[in-house]
Parts: sequence; structure tokens; C-alpha cells
Amino acid sequence: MAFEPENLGLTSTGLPLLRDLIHEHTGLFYDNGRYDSLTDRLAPLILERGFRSFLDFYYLLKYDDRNAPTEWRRVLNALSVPETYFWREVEQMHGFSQHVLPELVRAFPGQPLRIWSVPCATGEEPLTIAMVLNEDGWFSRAPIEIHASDASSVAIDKARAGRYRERSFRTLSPELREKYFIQHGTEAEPVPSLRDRVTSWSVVNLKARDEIAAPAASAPVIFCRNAFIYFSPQSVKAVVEAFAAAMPSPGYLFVGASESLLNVTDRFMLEDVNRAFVYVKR
Amino acid sequence: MTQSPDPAREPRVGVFTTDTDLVVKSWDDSLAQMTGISPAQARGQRLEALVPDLTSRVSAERLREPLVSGAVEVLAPAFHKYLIPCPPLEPSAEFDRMQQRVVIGPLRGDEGTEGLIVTVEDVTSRLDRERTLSRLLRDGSPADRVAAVRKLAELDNPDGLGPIETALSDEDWQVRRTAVRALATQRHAHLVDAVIAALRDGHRNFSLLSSALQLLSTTGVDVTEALAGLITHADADVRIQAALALGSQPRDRAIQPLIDALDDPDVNVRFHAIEAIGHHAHPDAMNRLCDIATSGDFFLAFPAIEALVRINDPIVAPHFAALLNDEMLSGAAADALGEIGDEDALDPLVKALDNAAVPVAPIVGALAQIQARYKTLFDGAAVIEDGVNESISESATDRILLELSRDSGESLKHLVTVLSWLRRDAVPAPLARQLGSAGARHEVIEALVRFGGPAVTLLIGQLASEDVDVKRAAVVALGRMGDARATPALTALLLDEDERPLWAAVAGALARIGDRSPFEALLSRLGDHDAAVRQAAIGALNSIGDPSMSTRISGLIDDPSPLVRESAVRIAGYFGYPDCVDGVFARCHDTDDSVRSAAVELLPYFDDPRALDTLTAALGDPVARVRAAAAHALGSMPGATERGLLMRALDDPEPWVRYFAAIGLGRQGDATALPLLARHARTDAAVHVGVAAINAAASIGGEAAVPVLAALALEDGERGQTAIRALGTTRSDAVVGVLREALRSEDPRRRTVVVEAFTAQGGTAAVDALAWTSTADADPLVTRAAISGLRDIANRNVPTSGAAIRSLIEVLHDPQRRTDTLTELARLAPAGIPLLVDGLDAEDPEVRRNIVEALGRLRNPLASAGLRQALSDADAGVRRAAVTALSRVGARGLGSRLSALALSDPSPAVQRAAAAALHRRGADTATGNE
Repeated sequence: MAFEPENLGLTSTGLPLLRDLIHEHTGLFYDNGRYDSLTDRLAPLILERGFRSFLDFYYLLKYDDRNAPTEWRRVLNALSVPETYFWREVEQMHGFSQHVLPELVRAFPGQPLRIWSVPCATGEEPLTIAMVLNEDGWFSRAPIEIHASDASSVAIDKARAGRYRERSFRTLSPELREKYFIQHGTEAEPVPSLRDRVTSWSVVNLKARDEIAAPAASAPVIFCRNAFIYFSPQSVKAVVEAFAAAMPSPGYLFVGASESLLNVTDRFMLEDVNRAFVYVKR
Repeated sequence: MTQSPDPAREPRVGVFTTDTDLVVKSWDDSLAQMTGISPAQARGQRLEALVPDLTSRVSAERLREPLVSGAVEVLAPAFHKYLIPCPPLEPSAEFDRMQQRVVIGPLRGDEGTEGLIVTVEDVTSRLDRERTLSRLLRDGSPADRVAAVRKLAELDNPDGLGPIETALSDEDWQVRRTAVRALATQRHAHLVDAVIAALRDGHRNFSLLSSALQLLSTTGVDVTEALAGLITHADADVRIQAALALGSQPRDRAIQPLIDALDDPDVNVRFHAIEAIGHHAHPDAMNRLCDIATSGDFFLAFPAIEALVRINDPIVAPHFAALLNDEMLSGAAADALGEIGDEDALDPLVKALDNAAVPVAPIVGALAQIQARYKTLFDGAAVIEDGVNESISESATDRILLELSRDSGESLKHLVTVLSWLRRDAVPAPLARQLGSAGARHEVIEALVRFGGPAVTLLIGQLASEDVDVKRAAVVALGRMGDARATPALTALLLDEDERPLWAAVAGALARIGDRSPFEALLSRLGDHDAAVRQAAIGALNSIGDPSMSTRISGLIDDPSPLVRESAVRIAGYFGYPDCVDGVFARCHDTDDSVRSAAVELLPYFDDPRALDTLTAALGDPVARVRAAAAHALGSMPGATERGLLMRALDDPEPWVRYFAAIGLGRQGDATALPLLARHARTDAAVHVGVAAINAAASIGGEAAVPVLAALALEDGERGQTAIRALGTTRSDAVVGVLREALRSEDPRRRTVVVEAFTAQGGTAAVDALAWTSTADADPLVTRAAISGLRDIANRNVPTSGAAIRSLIEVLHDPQRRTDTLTELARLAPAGIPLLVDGLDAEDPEVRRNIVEALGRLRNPLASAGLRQALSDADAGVRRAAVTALSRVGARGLGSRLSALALSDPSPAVQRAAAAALHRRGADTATGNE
């Protein structure tokens, strides 16, 4: 726990109600072991609003139609986990580029192939996808679009700005960093040819079915990695079912290495793509 | 509007009687209309004469059978068509003769059977429909067939399953499912025949078989005996299906045939018999299953182990322990010990870690699982942790440490958890390296915090990690440890701009450590643009309370930065510094809204006469947030003027001003505010203001609030639920009826709120309502809340506490509620334990066994006395549970008693349990140390 709410005169009344409301709205679930994390992230918002209890904030999010939309955006920004880096779990992307993409290009000849990275945090993942595909020469062989979304508007703003600090490069080789990034003091930005490979950036709440239906319907490939570890099982199921309902066939869903859809859905089959696992809708 | 009767649903029935020679004695009008034979024509005629071709369709013996045996004969239309030939009353597409269902019974008089009474039912119309639907079922599309099955079910054929039976083996699963559902609701005796026939004759037709098995699990029809007959059938496939089906029969009678099937010559039958026994989890099968588990037959050993785990009796743990070194079964045995083992399982598990051929992860997982169970059930984690720490070897520790770098997920968590119990110098460093493992970070932090001092230096070293998550985890752990040695390193992070993402966590850690040296560093963060950092710095400064703080804060109240001014005002208000009071009043007129509202809100903490005027002015501030802060502040300032201001504020256009005004009026407890609050409770456009007004009305309390709350309790949504909760806080008996009414809601969430209200109310009627809800409500969340509510009342030491405990004991009779009730009884306050012990007089041994289990978890001398009493219980299961519980809580002084039980108890299970308890207590019991 970063700080203790009682040192700020903040009472924890209403915290379970708020926790459940956030779960219902965003899919993010904070069990009893992670209450501290929730209070850490929300306490500043509550105090900034001039409130003294979590219950006041719960009422604001639930009943204050005038202020709730703005406040939900701030909540999503506060709860998002933007910590990611380039070349993370890249084996999956190599498997995608070398084994899945050829099949998709054959299945949808001449059509633009859409890849959706969600949640994309501050943009490291979609840019990594672009680097991998570029290294394999795909952009000259097929029309490929990469779309990126996240629930946090702050994360999307940062992704659009495209300024990355040292920790984002922890596993990227110096050669690729040199090739794809321009250093500006302590920060680096992607070269225009890489940056422009990401066709769109947008704010999307994975729990809002209407927000994910359209992008999923047009994307036979979705990278949804390291999001479900923060979701409750029922929220994971709801999101995966929404993907399954909207995605074309064949559709490829990549989740994080530590995530599993076993016992979540039978709409996707797990396939081993060159030692990288992918869930496939046939 | 009335509906004309459906001829298929309203069959016409006629009645006639005969003497023992089958001469007609009476013939009613209905029958006359149906057959065209008048009573005058019929009376006095022999039946064979009245119906010339009768004996060609029904044998004379059959007609006379009721006269001989007194049994009732039914002539089903499917076979006999009709008794008295006549045309149908309504035109029929299928039949030129009326189809009749005939029931022939003995006509009894004073002298015994005097003749026959015969009912004749016209079923032509129903059979018309049945035939049409049968054709649809045979030739229609799947959707047609589903519809046909539904229609056939509505016809409710009393003579059997009819054409629906064929739908059980339909090729389409939706048709089969519909047929199963339709039949499951009918519960005809014929169902048993259909299912048994399906198992016997159709066991190679998977569709038919799956339908039949599904029927068994959904109907509740008892087919145990029929299935027991099939388990000795010549065909092994039939025996397999019978075993499977017996597994879904919740009957104790199913157990013995299944145990017998463990000797079946066919290994597949034995396999399925084991699985079926596992479903029943019946202790009678334990010995045979243990034999199989240790027999070396791997095909059967795994299901046998699983079945034993489901029986869940620690008495079998030694059998699993023997398998720990078996290369093939080691993992399954360790998992089983994790599920059911107790502290006796520690020794074999720890020793198994010395065997290099035994995998580490399952063993460690079992140890972690046993510890977690002891922690939850008996608050006894230390027994397991100390036991492992004392007995584990260096080489075993090394094996766990080696495994750390290989595992992930749950397995890694278990490794970290078990390592945290070990007081070994070699442990903290490898653990600290695991801070980078996101999945186990929480466990790693907990483990390092337990190590305390030796881990501090390691964690300080981790602050230099390149991974921000590792650094953050180290910061949090150092804060938890509260060791001042970490202060310089943490302060350095707080001053390093590159470490901005960690600042909030660092400030939090410094707050916990409480060292005053980072005072200046924390002050420098009071104006940070990140609210989280600012608030964490405020919290840390409030925590460390430096002597120079009031002076420094007094200066910062006038800082050019509004962020610093707001932070300074908050700290000044938190401590109520007298030398800051003028500064705070000045800030009530600050140009920045946030500073102004913070200053206004904190005025009550200074106890200054200027506060009231300032707050009155603030209620007219153009900024809503400032007015809300003023209402919030006035709520904690008692006084008639303040209450008047709050009542005025209830008319503010801004909902949040009204919200805090309502809360404030509730705090003031002034009954004159009740009508105004009642109005807002009912009609305020903002739900949260209504909710606040309801709570305020309840806080003011008294009889006057009850009608307001009772009326609102009828509403749906948050207002209604708040009113229900509020009613629970009143002491009025008038609320009981309202709450009972609300308990009839179809919404389980609303019923749960009613349960909470009854729990808070706690009177005799509330206990009754909770007891009823505990067993009668269909939603498990509601029943759980009711059971928990009873325990809550039981522990309050109020006049109804005894009734609440007796109600909980009553709920133990319900097998479905037993686990929840046991959990609550195990949390009973000491004052309630004698009443729980009184429950050992209950007739049902299962209730007594659960009381023993609860007493064992309570770890109290009064509970132990109850356990000793239970050693003499008439039921072996209760005695065994008492022995096990006493062994766990400490059986000191019971050596002779346990010895006697081990030697001469009529139950071998009790003997074994007593012997195990004696073994555990070692020298104490061996010497009969009483």
C-alpha cells in the first residue's frame, strides 16, 4: 500500500460497493488481497473531489449523471497498468508473423488485414508488432493495418505523443532501437515510418460490448495480452464471448503468456504456433 | 373472459357398477350420453350381453380380477381401444370408435366385495392429438420435433411415456433435451421402466444413454433397486452403465452394490464403480478404496485416491503418505494430502522432499494448502509453519530454493509461502530476487517482511534494480518492515526526478517508518502536480508529525502555488494547529476553488468563533464545491443556527450540497428536521441525496421516522434498500411486518438487504425470520447472509442470542446449509459455547457430528469439555469426530480414555482415530498421564 487513507482523513466506508461497481463497469476486479492497490489509486481522485469517503465517490460514479462520465475516465486512467515495454513476449509475434499471417493473407486475398492491439497501454505493443512485421517484410507484401486501443485516455495520449523513456527499451536490441527510434535527451521517439504503421489510436473499454464489437468485427487478429490477469473470471468470459461473437472466421486471439482461456470458452481452440500459443476461432 | 373447455384436457367420464356376476346395477347419465345406451337399457343386463364382443377384447379373467384380488385394473386405450363400442362424440380424424380408458375396481359393501365399479373415460380427442404429434415427431424438422415433444408433454398421458419415449433417442440433441425435461416433470412410475430399459437395451446408443442418465439425475425418481439389479448383468457394458447411474442416485442404498462392484472381473466396471463411489463420498467404502489406492494398479489407483479425497477423512492420510515416494503416484498422493491431511501429514511430506526422485512442487503445494486450511479453520497456521521449519532438512530447503527459479503461477506462490516459514540464512536472498515475478510478488513481499531485519539490506539493494516493479515492491516491503535503516535510500528516491513513478509509494513507506529525517523531502512534494504524490506526502507528514511542522505549514499556507496552499491547509486542519488558524481563515477567501473549499471544510477543527459566519458566507459561494464543503463542515458543528443553515442548504440547486446537508442533519439528530428529510428522501431528484436523507432520518430515529422509512421500503432500487437497512437500525416492533413483507421480494439482492436489516434489528421476530430464511430461501447468498446474521445476533450477548444459537443448530439439520452453518458456529463467542454443547443432545447424529466439528474449531476450554462429552456419543461418527478434534486441540489428560477407545470401541474407525491420537500425543498418553 502506498499510503494509508486514514492519514488523509479518508474513511473506507463504501469501499466494497465501489469495488463491485468498478468491476461491473470495467471488468477490473480487486479481491481482498488487492484492496490496497485500489485505495492507493482512487484515494487521490476522491480527495481531489473534496470527498471524505469511498461511499461519496461511489454515489458520484453511480448517480451523478453530470460528473460521472468524466470521473469514470479518470478512474480508468488511474487503474490502468501502463507499465509495458518493447519486444515483450515477442515469440508470440514471431509465430504470428511467420505462421498465422501467411494463412490469413491466403484466406482474405487482396483485402486490408486488420490487427487490433487492445489494451495497448502507451503503445509499445502495436509498435512492436509493426517492427516484427517490417523485419519480416510484410508491409511490402500485403495491405496491413494496425489499430490500437486502451481504456485509459492518458495512455492513448502518451501513445500518440510517442515519447518513450529508457525502461520501455529494456529488452529491445540496440540494433533495432537504432533502426526504429530517434533519441531526444532522455527520451526516444519512433521514426515516422514506424509510427505511421499504427493506423489508429482510440479509447475503448473492454467491458463495453458496444465499444468492442465494431473493431473486433473487422479484425481477424486481436492481441489482448496481460489484461485478463486483472479481470474476474466472469469478466474474462464476457470479453472473450464478445470477441468470439464479433470476430470473423478464422480469427486469432493472442493472450498473455500467463493467461489461459481454459474453462472460459469453447468458442476458441488453442493452437500451438511454433511454440507460441494462440486461440483460434474457426 | 372465459375460455371454452379444451376437449383434450377435459375428458368426459362415465360410471357403471355391476354385481359379482357382472350384471349391471347402475349406469349413469354421462355414460348414457357417451354410449347411447340408456340406464334403463343397461340395468339388469349381464355385461357380456350388453357388449357382445367384449370377451374378444378383454378376457373374462381380467374383468373378474378385482373381484378376486381387490386390485384395480386399468385397460389402457393403447391396447384395448374401448370397452363399450360407440362412435366418438366429436368427429375424429383417426378413429371411428370412441377410444376409452377404463378403470375397473372392486365395489365394496358391508359384506365385502359386492361387485365392480367401472369408470369409462373418453380419450379419443387426446389420442387424436397424440397420433398427429407422433407423426410430427417421426417426420418433422428438429424444430417441429421439439414442438411436438412439448405438446405431447402437455397431454400428460397417464398410461406411460407414450411417443415421448422415442424422442429420448432422437438424433437431435435439442429434441432429446426437451424430452428429458418433459419426462423429468412427470415422474411416472413408467419412467423407471423406460430408463432401465434404456440402460439395458440401449447402452450402445450414446444418444439414448445420455438422455437416460440425464433423466436419472434430474427426476429424483428412485431407481436404485432396479439399477442394483443391473450391476450383475452378464454384459459388462450394462454393468458399467449401471455403476455410472448408481453414482447419480443420491441414496445410501446405492453404496453396497457399488462396493460389491469393486470385485467385478472387468476392470472398466471397477473403474466406474470407484468413480461412482466418489460421487457418494460414503465412508463405508474407505477401506476398499485404500486397498485399491495402494495396490499398485495405476489405472485404478488415481480414481481411488480422488474418491478418498472426496470422502475427506484424514484417517486415510497414512495411506497417501505411503505413496509419496512412488514415482507414478507421488503427485496425486501429495495433492490428496494437501486436500485432507492434517499436521500428521507434515512429517511424511517434509521427508519426501529429501528424495530427489520426488517432484518438489506438489509436496510444497500440499504443505501450503494444509497451512491455509489450518489458518482458516482453526486460526492455527503457526502449528504447520513451525512444524515444517523444525523438521525440514538443509537439502530439502535447497531443493525448494532451486525450484524457485523454475516455477511460475500458483506453484511459485506456494514455494515462496513455504520458504517464508523457514528461519534459514540462505532463504531471504533468493526470495528478494523473486520480486520481479509479478504473479508471486505479494507473497514475496509478505515473506520478506516476515524475515524482518535480515531482509532489509537485501531490499535496499533491490531499490537499484532496473525494473520499476521490483523497485516498487521493495519500497512497499521496506515500508511494511518499518526499519529506519531504509530511510536514507527511500529519501534519495523521493528526491530523484527519474524516480517520479515511485514517489507516492516512497512517501507511503516513509509514513510507515515514521522517521522524521525525510521531513524536508516530503515538504518539497506538497506542490507536486500529481495528486497521488501530494496526498501521499500529506499522509506521510501527518504520520511523522515533526515538531517544526506547524511553523513550516503556517508559512506554506500563503505559498504562491495553490497546490502547496491546499496541501498546507489540509495538514493544518488535520492537526488543528493554533498558529495556522488565521491563515486557514484567510484561505477561505482564496481565489483558487480547491484551496477555498479545503479551508472551509476544515474550519470546525479549529474551534474558532469566526467559523459560523465564514461558513454562512460560504454557503452562498458561487462555486458548488465550496458550498458542499460548507455543508459538510456545518454537519459536525452542533447548534440550532447550524441546523437552520443545513436545512436551508437542503434547497441548494447542487445535489452534492444537499447530500452533505442531509448527512449533517442526520449527525445533528434534530427531530424537527425529519419532515424536510422525509420530503427529500421521497422526492429529491438525485438518488444519492435521497439515500443520504433516508439515512439521516434513521439516525434521528424514534417512532416518527418509522412510517417514513416503511413507505420508502416498498420502493425498488437504492432508496428502497437504504430504507430497509435503516429500518433495521430502529428498535420499533412496527418494522417487523414491513421487513417480512419485503422478504417476499423476488430480487435476491433485496432479500439480502432485508436479512441485514433483521440482523441489525435482532429481536425475537428477527431471529424467527432469519431462521426461516436460512432454510427456506432458494438463493444461497441470501441463506448465507441469514445464517451469518444469526451468528451475529448470537455473539452480541443480547436476550435473543440463545434463540439464535438454537436456530443455527436447527439449520444444521439441512444438509445443504450445513457447511455455511458450521463455518458460522465455529466463530461463536465464548458465551454461546455452552448452548452449542447443549446441541449435542440433538437426535440427528449428523447434527451432533457438525457440532463436534464446530467445537473443535473454537479452541476454548468450554468447547473441549463438550468434545470430551461427545466421546461417549452413541454414534461412531460423532465419537470419531470428537477424537480427531480433541487430538487437534490438545488431548492432554485423555490418555486412558483414548486408550480405551483404541482398544475396545465397537467401531474400527473410532479405534483407528483414537490410536492415531495416542500416537500423536506420544509419551503423555503412553503413560496414562491424566
